[in-house]
Amino acid sequence: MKVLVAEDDPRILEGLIEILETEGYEVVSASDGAQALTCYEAAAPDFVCLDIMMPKVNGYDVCRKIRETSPGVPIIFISAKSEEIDKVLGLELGADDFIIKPFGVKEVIARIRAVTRRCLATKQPARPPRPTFSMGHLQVSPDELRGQIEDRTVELSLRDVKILTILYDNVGKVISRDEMYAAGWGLKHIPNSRSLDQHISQLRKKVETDPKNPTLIRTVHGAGYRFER
Amino acid sequence: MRRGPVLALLLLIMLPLALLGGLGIRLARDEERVLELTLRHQIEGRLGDLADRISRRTASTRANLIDALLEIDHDPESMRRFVRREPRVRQVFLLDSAGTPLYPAPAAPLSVSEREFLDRAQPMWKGPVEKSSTRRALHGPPLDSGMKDPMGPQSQGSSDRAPQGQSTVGWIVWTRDSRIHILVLEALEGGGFIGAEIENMRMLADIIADLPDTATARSYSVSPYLLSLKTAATVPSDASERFALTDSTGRILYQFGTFDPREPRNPLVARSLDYPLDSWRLRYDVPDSAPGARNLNRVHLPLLLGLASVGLGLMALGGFVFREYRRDAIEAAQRVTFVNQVSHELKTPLTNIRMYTELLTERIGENLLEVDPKARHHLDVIADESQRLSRLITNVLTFSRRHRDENSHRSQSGIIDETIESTIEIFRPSMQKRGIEPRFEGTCRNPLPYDPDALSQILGNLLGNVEKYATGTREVRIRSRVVEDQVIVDVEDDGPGIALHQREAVFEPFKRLSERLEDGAAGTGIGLTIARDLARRHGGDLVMIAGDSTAHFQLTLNIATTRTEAQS
Amino acid sequence: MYRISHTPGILMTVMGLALIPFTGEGTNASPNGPQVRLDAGFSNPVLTSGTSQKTFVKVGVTGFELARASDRAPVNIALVLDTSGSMSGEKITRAKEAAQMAIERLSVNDIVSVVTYNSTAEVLVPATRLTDKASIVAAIESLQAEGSTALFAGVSKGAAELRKFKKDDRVNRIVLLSDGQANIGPNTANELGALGQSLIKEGISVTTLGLGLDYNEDLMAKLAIKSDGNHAFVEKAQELAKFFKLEFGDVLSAVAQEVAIKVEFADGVRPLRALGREVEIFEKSAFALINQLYSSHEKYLLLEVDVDSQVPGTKKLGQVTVTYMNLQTQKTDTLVSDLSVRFTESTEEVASNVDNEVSSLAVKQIATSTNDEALKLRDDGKVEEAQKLLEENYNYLMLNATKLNDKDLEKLGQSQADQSVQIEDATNWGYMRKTMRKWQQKQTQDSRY
Repeated sequence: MKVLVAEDDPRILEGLIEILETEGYEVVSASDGAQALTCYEAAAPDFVCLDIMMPKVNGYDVCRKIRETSPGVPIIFISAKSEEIDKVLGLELGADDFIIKPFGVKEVIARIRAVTRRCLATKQPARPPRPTFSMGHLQVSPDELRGQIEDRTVELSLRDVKILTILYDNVGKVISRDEMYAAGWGLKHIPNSRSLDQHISQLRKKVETDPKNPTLIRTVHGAGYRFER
Repeated sequence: MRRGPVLALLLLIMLPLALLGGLGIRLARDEERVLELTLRHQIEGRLGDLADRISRRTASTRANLIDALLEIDHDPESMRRFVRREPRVRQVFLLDSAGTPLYPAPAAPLSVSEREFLDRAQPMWKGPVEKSSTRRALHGPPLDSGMKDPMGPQSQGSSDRAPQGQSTVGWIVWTRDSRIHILVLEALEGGGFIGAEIENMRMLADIIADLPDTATARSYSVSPYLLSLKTAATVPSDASERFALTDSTGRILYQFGTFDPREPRNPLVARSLDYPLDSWRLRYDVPDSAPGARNLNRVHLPLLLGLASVGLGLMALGGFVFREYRRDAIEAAQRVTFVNQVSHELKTPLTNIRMYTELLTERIGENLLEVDPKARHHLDVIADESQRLSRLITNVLTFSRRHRDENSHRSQSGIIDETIESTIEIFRPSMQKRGIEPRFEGTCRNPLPYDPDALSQILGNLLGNVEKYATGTREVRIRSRVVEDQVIVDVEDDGPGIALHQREAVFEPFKRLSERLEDGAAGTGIGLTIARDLARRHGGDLVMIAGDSTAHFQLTLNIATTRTEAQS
Repeated sequence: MYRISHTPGILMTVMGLALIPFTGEGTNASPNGPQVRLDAGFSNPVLTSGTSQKTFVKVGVTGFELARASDRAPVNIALVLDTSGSMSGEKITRAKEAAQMAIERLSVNDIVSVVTYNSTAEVLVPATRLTDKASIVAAIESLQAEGSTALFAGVSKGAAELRKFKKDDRVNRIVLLSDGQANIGPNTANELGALGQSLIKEGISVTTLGLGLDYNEDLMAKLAIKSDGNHAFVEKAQELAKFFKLEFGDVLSAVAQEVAIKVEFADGVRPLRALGREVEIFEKSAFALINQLYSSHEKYLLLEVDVDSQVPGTKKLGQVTVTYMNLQTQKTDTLVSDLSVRFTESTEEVASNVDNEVSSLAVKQIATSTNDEALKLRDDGKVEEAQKLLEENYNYLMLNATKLNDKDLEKLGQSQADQSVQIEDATNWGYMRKTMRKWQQKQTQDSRY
């Protein structure tokens, strides 16, 4: 999934990009409203995160302009202006959600995941919805970015879902590290090998009963990872 | 600019102006009235003078005639000779004590004019003269019976009305066919009466001879007097006027002055002449005064100037006050804007601090915990404090926006308990460090429409207070439940609590219950104020429940209101 | 002079002539200065005996001749001039000229006052001796015309001015000029007539000059008649000078004033009515007042009397007493004359003794009153009847002109015929009416103009 982020403060922008990429999204960024519009047309993202107070064109106007051509694309406003009216206005423009600075990382992730769920639910007919599948004690709902272990619900990132999906689709087979990267990060990203391990480690903490002794995502030394029933 | 003060200011200007204006007009009117009355008095004086002249003339005429009449012999020839020589009489007559005419005697041969006289006058004197036969007076009191003695049924002749006569000191006057007839009468020693009928035209000519003509009228004029009084209302600018003598029908007999009205009009002042000419009147006329510039200049201009200057003064004062008020308002707004601006400015770096701290924690948090727990602790501190800073700034912003947007808030569907839980989570670490354990019992698991940010902010303020002030408590108990169309959240601790008499005061802004250094320097005093405001905006309230030694706050949020708001 | 009857009269004439040096009759000279001449007589000095009948008595008084103009009595004149708006333009100019010219004729002993009237009255020149003519002339020059017409006020003020210097030995006169209807103050003919009647009692006459076609001729005529003044119909403003001259000519030629005429009748004679001049009629007497007599000018009164049947012979039927103020001698003179008639059985004698002059006067006055009747008919719109009446008047006059051999009657008759024609035109009636009123006044008052 592709996300467009428009934010004029470079550090906040950087931080948001990191959060989104960690989540598993392909990120396109812009530092002002005009650039945002250009990028939108060029990249055709799946959803958009807009800062309101931006130079050249402000977030509201960018939203309006986007809505002219794509009334359905989800838009999240990020802003320091937390007045009620602004919230309402933002939502009246057809924004899907509102994040108020200063925000926490978890807040951002939660909102983005919510939007993603909606995206996945209303995606083009080209792409059929993917049903829940079971991996051992874990029920994975890919389109809901959730997993269920007994009575506990686990929030999953897009990447998590992609990783679990590729493992499940190739049950019993070993998925090489490259393949993992390709599935979770996309071909464009060649991050260092540590990020995969880190991510697997994080994912295990979420879904494994005993992260130190994983049953769902097993390491195959020197080869990769594998899911076995 | 709010409407209230503007209105008050306008009233401040308008009311005194209106009052002054009203009084001023009263004053001007009174002044005018005084001048009018003075004018009237002057005119009445003039008319009185004229009336006196005329009275003197009639009195002297009578006196002369009576003197002459008393001299003549009573035979017809002598009487005729008298009539021929006396221009002031038409006819002379002689009556016996019973009122029967001796001359001209009805039975005797008479000239045409003598006969006509008898026809005219005979019915007249029968009544009053009979009754006065015992009186003989030249200047005595009026003949009591003679007043207004109508001779109706006995009247003869062709007039429509019966001649009515009055008789006082020596005159008999009656009107017939709207002409007056005047007789002088004198009682004779030894009985009987002698008298004469006055030639009216001659009498009028004599009166006219006594009255001023146009040249001498100037000295009679009232205008110069008035002009010097600077009156405006009743004397027109050309100051023309007219004195006139009219008969009983209002026909002008004589007039003098500079004004010759062509149409009938009402006189400014009028009076009757004295008896026996009391059916004639003197009148004074002026042209209708043209209202306009002259009036304004004379009377109203000073008034208007006075009002205008007062008005200007008041307006200047009002303008000054308004400006000051406005300046204050602008300053206040600027201050608010400044605060807002500052808060916004603070938000960006704060966002970054928080975000990067969290990212960092994510990245290396686990490792750091293993490798260097202390470093991890430092990281946690940074994260906590940046959150606290956030809450503080949010509070300040919320407080500064108190007076705007009273009723708007945004609600969305969500799970109350989740919001409560995440808020508690934020405070858990710092609470635990102080040995306070938050315990939550929530029963609001169903989606409901509410404003999560508001709930979070309120709860945050409450928990923050617990952190700061609830010394000695081991736990803080939080409960949530739904009752009808309200959500009720209770926050209770075992700390020292707040004294009963300060239950309401504690919600007032800037009120910190203790300034004592040792009682915690933390807190701005606006936390509870904001929390209650937010609660009330949500259609609910935040109250402190009376307890023993506990501090128990109860938050209610109105779901029904928000439900309808969400629907609308 | 006494009227002499024919047959037995010759003797009386001789006797009378013989008496002349003693009585001084036949001339106007007397030890007391010139005298007014009294001329009283019957239209029928000879009447039929044995029957009651009516006849006319004329009492005529003639002013003696004024030898020199400088002998004239001083005058006390009030000019009362209309300065109403209708007078503006040529009228006021001409009026001023005429007044100024008239004043030039007066002398230092005379007293003049000028009163103007329009909406109000103004005493322009208070009664003053004519020591400074120039200032009076200048005052008159300054007159402006505007406003209404307060005629009564003007006359009143004029009379008041006259009274300031009124004396018996002065001729007191108001000359009133008016060109329009009086509209302020008393304005009817009767009212002004009553004023006139009052004024004459104190020796003041009002001469009224009506200018143009808009004045009230009834009012102006009556005022003049009652006060024994003159009345003129001045058709054009240019004629004002002429009329002022005529009027002043009269005033300056007055020789006697306040002429009181009393006629007393014997038993068997009753006065019935007066013709022409107004006379007070009593059972057996009559009285009239003539205010002024001018040099060599006669004024008269005419009475119709009823005579009881008498036996033949001369009978004194009455006596005339005239008292007057002699302006020459400034004394009151008295004249007495008997009125006698000879009764005869002979009708030829009666017929041949008719006094044509008196008869003519009677005819004239009768015709005048008929003329007045015609005027009333025409006022009522009865044009044809009026014309008929005037024609009858013409016939009456022509008949008597022949009978009495009087050219004047002929002329009068002709004028009646003319009037009869002219009164038909309604637009001309205003003019005709003024003409008729003037004519009536002249006949009854014996005005010179």
